[in-house]
Amino acid sequence: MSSSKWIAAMGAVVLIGFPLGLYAQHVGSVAFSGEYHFFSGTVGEKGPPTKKDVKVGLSLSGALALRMYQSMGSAAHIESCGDGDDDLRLRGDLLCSRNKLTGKAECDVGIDLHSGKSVLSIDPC
Amino acid sequence: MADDGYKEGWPQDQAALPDTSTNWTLSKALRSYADTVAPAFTPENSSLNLVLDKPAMADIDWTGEHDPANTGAAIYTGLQPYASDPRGPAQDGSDGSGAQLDAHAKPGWIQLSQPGTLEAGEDGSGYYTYGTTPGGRPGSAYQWGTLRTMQVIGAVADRLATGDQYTPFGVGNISLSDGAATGDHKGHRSGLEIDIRPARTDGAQLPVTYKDPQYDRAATQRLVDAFRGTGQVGAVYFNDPRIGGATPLAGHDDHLHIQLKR
Repeated sequence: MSSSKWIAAMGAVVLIGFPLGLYAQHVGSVAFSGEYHFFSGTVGEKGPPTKKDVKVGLSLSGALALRMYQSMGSAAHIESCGDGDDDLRLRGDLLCSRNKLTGKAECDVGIDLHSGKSVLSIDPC
Repeated sequence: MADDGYKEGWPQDQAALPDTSTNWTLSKALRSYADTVAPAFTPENSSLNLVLDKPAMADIDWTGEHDPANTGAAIYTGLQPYASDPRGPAQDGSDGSGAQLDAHAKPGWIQLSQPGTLEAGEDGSGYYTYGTTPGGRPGSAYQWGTLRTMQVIGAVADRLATGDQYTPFGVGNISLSDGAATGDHKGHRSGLEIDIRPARTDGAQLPVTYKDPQYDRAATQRLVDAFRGTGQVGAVYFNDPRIGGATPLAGHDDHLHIQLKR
């Protein structure tokens, strides 16, 4: 293969493959990082999970959390009542934060496993 | 912390609580007072800002020096965290004063004295604790903070008591001893944030939301006013819209978040 054909072939790979890669990232499954914990009660009165009350708190991190934080928009901003190192965004029971110093984001939401409905999983304060 | 417009301190038209009986409770006394003499409530002229025959909060030295006129401010005088205690920890992990010691504690931080170690009516027994360990298990791991924080809690307990009569208020999470981040709170790392249960009409040491029939709004207002009256509070977060001096925030139906000034 001549050098011109090789360059053309690589160009085609880039032109076609890169958009396809982006597309796959949007519609496919992408691994993410995070932690979880089970609990009962509310964020103000947390207790161990029981037969009658069991919720799971999901704490997402990495690129997913940052994208969620950004997608929530600045209108979701709430005043930080803690140490002030985090920018907080809240919509419903979804709380996302981005650290002002590190830029890292984290998102927290809980699920009531008896109702299937969302709950707060972390105290914003 | 930005000024949220709440007028701090005790009102000028202060009044004493009615005489107490042997079955006195904070809620009963407040209702009795409100039924007879209380004017319409406003944050600036709270009918619940009842002042007892005690020194003004402004006279308290919040740096920990002993003030013989105020027992609340003196509760923690002399306590030192383990890190600066040349004797090291006692065999039972305590210094004999009711406060636990922790080698990982931030310098100057101490643990809230647990009322179980005190006799009824002693200083500090105006509150009870419902703190947890990370994840929600009962425990006292989250009840560390600055000396000033403990002074404020003690002073509020003292302020709300009449003689040896009181209905203890619930003190929840403050901070872990090293101020570490956890999955339970976005804040609570400075040793200056205190979670407090709203008051209940039955005085039970149980959770309550401001929407429950057992919720005692009058006593909760007095609790907020007592904290505000220390002059040490930067903000209070709680969702009852009829409580003066508090800002609503998600997740705060069943506890008040007290943020002390830095």
